[in-house]
Amino acid sequence: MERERRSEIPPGTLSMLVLKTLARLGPMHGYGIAEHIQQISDDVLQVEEGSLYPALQRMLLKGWVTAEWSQTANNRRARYYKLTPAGRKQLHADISEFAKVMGAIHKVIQPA
Amino acid sequence: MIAELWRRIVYLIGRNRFERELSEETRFHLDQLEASRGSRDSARRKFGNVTTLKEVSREMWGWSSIERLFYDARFAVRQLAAAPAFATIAILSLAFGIGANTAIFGLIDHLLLRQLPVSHPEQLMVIDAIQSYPRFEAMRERNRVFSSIAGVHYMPEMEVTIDGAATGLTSGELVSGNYFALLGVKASIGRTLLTEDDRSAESGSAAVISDAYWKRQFGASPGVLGKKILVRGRIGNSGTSGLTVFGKAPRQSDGAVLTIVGVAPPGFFGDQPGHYPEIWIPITMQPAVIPGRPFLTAPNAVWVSVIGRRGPDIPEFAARASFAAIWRQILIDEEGGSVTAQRRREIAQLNLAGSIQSGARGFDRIRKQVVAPLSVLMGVVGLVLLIACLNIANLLLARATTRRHEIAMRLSLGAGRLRLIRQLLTESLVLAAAGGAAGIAFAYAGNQLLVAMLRGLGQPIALPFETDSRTLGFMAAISLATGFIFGLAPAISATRVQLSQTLQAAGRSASARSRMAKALVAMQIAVSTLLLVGAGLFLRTLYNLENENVGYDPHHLIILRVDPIGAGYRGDAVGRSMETLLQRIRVLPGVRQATFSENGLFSGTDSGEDLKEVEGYTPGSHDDLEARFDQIGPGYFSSLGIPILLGREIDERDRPGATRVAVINETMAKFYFHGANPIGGHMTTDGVGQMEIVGVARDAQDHDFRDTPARRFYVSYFQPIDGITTANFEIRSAGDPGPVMTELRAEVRSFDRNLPMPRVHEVRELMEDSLVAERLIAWLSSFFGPLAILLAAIGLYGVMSYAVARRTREIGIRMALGANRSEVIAMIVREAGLLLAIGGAAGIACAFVFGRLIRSLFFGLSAFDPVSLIAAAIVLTIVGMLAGYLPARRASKIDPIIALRYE
Repeated sequence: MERERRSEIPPGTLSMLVLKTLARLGPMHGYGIAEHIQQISDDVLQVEEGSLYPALQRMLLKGWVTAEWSQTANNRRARYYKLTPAGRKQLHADISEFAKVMGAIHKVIQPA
Repeated sequence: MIAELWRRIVYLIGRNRFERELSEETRFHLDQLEASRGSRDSARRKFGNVTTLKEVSREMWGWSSIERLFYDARFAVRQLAAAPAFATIAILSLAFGIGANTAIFGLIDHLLLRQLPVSHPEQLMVIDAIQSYPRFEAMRERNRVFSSIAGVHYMPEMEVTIDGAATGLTSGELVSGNYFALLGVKASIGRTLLTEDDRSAESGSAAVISDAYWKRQFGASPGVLGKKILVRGRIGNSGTSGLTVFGKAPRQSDGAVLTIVGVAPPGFFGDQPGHYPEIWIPITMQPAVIPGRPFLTAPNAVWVSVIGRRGPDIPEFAARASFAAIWRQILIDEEGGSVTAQRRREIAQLNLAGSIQSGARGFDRIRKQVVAPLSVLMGVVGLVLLIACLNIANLLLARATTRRHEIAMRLSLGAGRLRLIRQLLTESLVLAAAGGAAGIAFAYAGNQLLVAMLRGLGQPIALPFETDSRTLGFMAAISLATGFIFGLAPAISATRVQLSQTLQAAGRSASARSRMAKALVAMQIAVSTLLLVGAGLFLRTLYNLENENVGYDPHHLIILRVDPIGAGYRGDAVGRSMETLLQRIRVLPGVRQATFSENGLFSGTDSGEDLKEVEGYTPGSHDDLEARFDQIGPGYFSSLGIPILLGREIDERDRPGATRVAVINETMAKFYFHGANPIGGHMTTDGVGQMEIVGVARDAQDHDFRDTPARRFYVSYFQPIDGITTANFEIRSAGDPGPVMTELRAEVRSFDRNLPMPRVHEVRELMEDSLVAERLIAWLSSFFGPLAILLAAIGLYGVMSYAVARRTREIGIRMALGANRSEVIAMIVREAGLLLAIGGAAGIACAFVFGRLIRSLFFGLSAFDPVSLIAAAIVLTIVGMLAGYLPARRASKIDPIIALRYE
């Protein structure tokens, strides 16, 4: 059986990671987003496909991203997600919120 | 948010494409994974459950719960369509129940609950007592409490002439000039009445007409403005009797010529639900509208209803108290300088503040009349709906039994119990919704019927059926409620299934369902017993009232109401002319006997007097000297057949100038003379001084069946103690009154052309009109009572049949062991009898409790009326035993051999 050492993505942060990825890469498909997060995090963060696609749907519903079908480099059809201005705003809000929470957690756990 | 909703809608429309795209996206992802990992299986494992992913996405777009409801509803419709007989019975009985409830509710809402359709109705206050015009003027002058105050007088019957042609009788209202401004009602065309219109008597000949009248009479033509109409009010039962008529020169007048200045907005119906004036006239036009009766200056003519608007910052109780103080001062000032300490105390004790009430719903005279009968009707139709619910609950329970296999199958395949209950409830709600929708037709028909039946209730009540938001809201609410009431218990019971047992066999342990069914049937029996007992009580009340001995024979008795004052007669000429008319009536063909009196019989007018003194009697309180009276023509008692017990009746001797005489009734004789002979005794009034008592007459019910006979005396029409205002001829016809009535009208017209059109009624008809509410309740309850018992019997029959079917095997064994047929019948009938006894006892207990609450509606019997109770018990037993016997007989025919092989 194949076992991989991986860490759960903290709840609520997946959409922030996806938005940041799209902000960095420009339009990208689901597979590319998952791969990118995994690579950048040195394989620490494993994106569950079962969570990724629902998260993408939710962002579509909220209007943070739009989706469009187009060709990949090796000529396959794939759905590319693109950040909207509303998504960009949401990303900034998420990041500052996350930083705040992380700072606070850090204060709590640092050695006295 | 809106953008999100929009995206959801777009999703809903393009759902198939959405799902295709999601699949393609998933496939792409899997392909990529496979390419990088080299194995399809590994890629799949990495990806996870594709179906779950799809479901989660679908859920996310948020229509799933609604969709599920829709699927449930569609499934429910299919289920119901598969059982058309059940669905039809259920929907029809619901439609009937919901329709009847909605019809009664519509009436209650209109007459009792709704606020007037004017601006800020909550600021309105009304005085619950009619006033004289001078007193109203004093109130208006001294008022510092209300921002404005107006006087009104409703007239149910006015003769209206348009372009020289009589248009029949129309209702109208005399109102102060500021009336429309006070209510905040603006004309839809033209103008409303203004303060200038009622500056002085007969100065403002303007009229505003209702929207309905405008459409009906003038075809909604804008040319109606400036049109002149001739209006003549009929003196009616408006509280103006017992009134002295002044005025020296009789003035010949056809009424008031008025110019239409505006049309009231649609929906505005005046100030009292149940009264719908079509023409509003300045109140100062009264002497012209009702010729010969100068009420504006008469301090003893009480006819003005008062309505006021308080400022938004003055609380109701404060307005009430302050205005009561003003009113009290007016009463003291009316006494002049000579107010005694005694009178002052009396005035101080009057509960004036209590007479000043909220006017948000307008004047409430009609409301007081109808609140009790309407509440009873609402109760009756409510119970009918309850029975329909219980019946359907029972049917659903039976259906659940036949569907037990299906339900067990669903449960074992993993359906949640809540999910199943929701599904079954959806089915009930679909039924209820269908019943409610079909109920609209019943509600409409019921409303028409009610209005037709209520038309005789004192004044015409013409209610349009309003399918407005309130009525429809009520209908939707009770439909929903009924759906839950009859659906919930069966749904819970149906899903309480022992899986293994049910799937194995048809299952024998349905005792829970059977217990619930029995409880439902017992409740049905209880409710229908309640209705049956009620029907008995109301029918017997109606019978008692209709057969009440009024003291004279009402058959073939005609009342002809003539208005000599309106034609200009004054003083002694009134009596002389009416006597001449009586001579002419007496010789008409078909007339057997005729007489006349001021108030007539069941005519809606009565007179009262505070006696100053009765010889030999010491009053305990002021009230002891109150008595009612009538002023009668010669031969009144002998013509009507009211026996004179002592002395003589009033006859030709009793003329102006002769000794003033009076005949008193039995009740009055007993009260004042305690068995001593009153003949030759004297009594005194303030107005005319002493009268000699010359006779004692047997008590008669002149105006009402329910009143216990009041103290009453009679004086000669030619020796009036109070101004004569009208004449009612009591005429007994030899045969059919119809032709005689026609003749009478013609005779009055030929006697004096100036006399207003007379009113002619049969006394029986007037009596029946006074019993409209009683008749309505009796009819409806005796219609619904048997219907209820029939439904309960069907329920009982169903339960017993089911019990027999379930116990076929047991009964077979019993018979195989030697039980005979009659024993088997007795066993089943005993079971049915137990249900009947429990339900019946509960119903009778309820009937007793409710009966005591509404005992004022009964007449001649108490709430514990043995006849009604026994009748209900007999009907219940016969119907119930029949419903129990049929299944029992079937049980007795069971062949033990077949039964033991059964299943």
